[in-house]
Amino acid sequence: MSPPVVAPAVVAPAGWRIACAYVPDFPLAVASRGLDVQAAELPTVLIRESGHQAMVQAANASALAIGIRAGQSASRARARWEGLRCLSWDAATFEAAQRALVTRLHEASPMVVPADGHLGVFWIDARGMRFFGGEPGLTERLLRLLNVEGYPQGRVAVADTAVVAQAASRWGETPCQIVPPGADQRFLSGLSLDALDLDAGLCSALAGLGIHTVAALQKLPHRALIERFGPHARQAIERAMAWDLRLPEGRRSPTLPEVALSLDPPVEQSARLIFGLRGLVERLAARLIAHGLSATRLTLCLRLDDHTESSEELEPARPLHHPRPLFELLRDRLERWRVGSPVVELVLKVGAAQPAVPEQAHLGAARWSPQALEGVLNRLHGRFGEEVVMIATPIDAHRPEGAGTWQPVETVPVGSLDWQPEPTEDRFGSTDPAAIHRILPEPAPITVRLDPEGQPVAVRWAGRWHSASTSGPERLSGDWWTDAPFAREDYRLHLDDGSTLWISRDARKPRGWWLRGWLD
Amino acid sequence: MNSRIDSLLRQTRPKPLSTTPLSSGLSAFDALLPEGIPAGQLTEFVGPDSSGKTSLLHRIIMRTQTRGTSVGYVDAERSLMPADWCTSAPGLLWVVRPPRPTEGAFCIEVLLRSCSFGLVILDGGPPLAPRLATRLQRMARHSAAALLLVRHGQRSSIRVAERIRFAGRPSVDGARVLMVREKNGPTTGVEACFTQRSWSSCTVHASGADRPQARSRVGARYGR
Repeated sequence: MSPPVVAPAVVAPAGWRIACAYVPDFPLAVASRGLDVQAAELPTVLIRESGHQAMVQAANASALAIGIRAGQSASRARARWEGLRCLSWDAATFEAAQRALVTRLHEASPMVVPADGHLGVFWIDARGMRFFGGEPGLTERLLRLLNVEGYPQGRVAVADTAVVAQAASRWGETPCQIVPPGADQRFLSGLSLDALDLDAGLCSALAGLGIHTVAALQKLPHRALIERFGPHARQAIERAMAWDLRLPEGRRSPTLPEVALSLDPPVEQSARLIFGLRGLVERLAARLIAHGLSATRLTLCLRLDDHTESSEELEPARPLHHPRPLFELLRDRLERWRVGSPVVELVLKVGAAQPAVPEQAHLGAARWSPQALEGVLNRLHGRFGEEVVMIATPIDAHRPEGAGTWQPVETVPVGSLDWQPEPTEDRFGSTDPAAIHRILPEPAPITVRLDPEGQPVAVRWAGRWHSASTSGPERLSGDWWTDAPFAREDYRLHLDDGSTLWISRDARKPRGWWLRGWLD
Repeated sequence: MNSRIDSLLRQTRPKPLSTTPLSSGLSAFDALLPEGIPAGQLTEFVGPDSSGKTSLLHRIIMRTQTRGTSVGYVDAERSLMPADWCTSAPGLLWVVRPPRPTEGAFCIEVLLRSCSFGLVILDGGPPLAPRLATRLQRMARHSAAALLLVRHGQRSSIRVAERIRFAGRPSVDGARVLMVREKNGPTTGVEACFTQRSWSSCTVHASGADRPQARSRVGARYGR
């Protein structure tokens, strides 16, 4: 089972190509412009003063070679090398240099935007270049313009998404890298986690787990990762899977829909809220369809009369844009919502979305449909959480009770209902059907009488003593390589009333008897 | 053109949900209930623990799956052993395990409302209130699903289309079960036998590393 557990929050719209121009150590490059080659090769650092401290912000290759690092104090850096050239951090100069570079890069593309929070990174719209030498022609022009502006070390990359374009420009093998359309994920899988610019805490946690590459991160179960590490993990997964809608405007596009319904007078009854919710969902669905999106995460927010807010996040079993399943999902949540004050506004936001997949027209309006099963999943997940609808999966284990596990059904697998009957009637190869076990969640103590040889002859069950014949023991032992080894003897007791119990005792401490279950 | 569209629509039209009754393939049970478990109706299995209800249910479910019919099983007591329910078509058997036995009725309602299951089973949980049972019966009729209630202990007071009472019979070679049809038929019962599988066949690999025969093989390989 390897479908992504978390539906992609966002993916790049089809047809987009984004270029990223990157100038390594941009502030240092700006400060060093105009110096001759010999002077530029001297150990040089940029010093930024904050309060009473002067810290090294950036160091050139010569300074790094003698052990000076960003984050060191200026005095310590100077102590390392007597002739260290110290330049002061001048934010206004860097901003002006960025603006000048944007103006210059406009000669290659009409849309050039400096990246927020990253000096020396520029997003460039790479579409529609087929009459200008295509993407190779664009990258060549961009490199030339960077050189003209005084940044010969500049690098350029083109990809489907911003995250990959940035990673390729920084970590690509050549200064000019073109990631073919549709190959973003594959390109990322060859890089280390540093390429994703992740939260430092998450990076170290992943490193502790032995996850050092993007490929390893892509293979991890997404939902489990998000549950453990929170929003940083979600961001990491979005980047690792190249689910990125950022465009050269520097913001996500298209805007994810949000609809609101003001309630005047304020409403207390959930039935009236649900009535309002229906219209709200229809409006949201219309906007999703207009944008060609399916919601993968929704936020339902109740603004209350006492100026407080109560909100809840929902993740449907599969991306949704039809109003009916959306309504079923939200209604169930709203029915069980207890708020302390009347509701004045109902807000429904799409937290994440992906492009809607084209669907087969509903010829004949099938009653038996994945949509209906998806509705079942949504309602049950919404009420009880995700561990409620299960399918049994076999496991390679020696203990009978451990030879299978309940695996939660998280999505409706397409085509799962196609099944060819097996030729055998009984999978155990018996003409008579097999008796089926019932097990207790935990073994319960049970009172047993033994014969002189230590075999059970009577048992107290259902409030009275029963004489019993025995089959067993079945001796089981194992897991000695773990902290919880087991060694036990299992018996089946055939009682005088026809019941068959499954009991056991610990072979290492054969004092007590335990009821594990019965055959039913 | 119209005829071509008609023929296309005929091909793409889904098969209507089957309303034929469900049989178990177990001769004794089929003799007791020749018309099978009725679709769109409520049937009740009653009997004490270890009286063969689950074994018969297992048989019925496997038989139902061979028809390509999907089964929703609400295990309200959360006592099924997963190894017994691994099928080659897991998508056709959804086992719903609510956190509390009292939530079983809600799960049944959701399953029936979807009209996607041919057989829906509520196993355990508190007795259904008559009004709730009537509503579930109506939903079963609407979805053409056979609704099966399994009661561990005494029979309930609700009206059902069929009620089968189970009782175990002493036996050492297998599990012998007496089944009595309490409604719409003779009150005499029939006996059925269920095989008690050996312990080793309950696991995926009969000869695990901790079993004597496997241990001797491993020992032989390493010269011990």
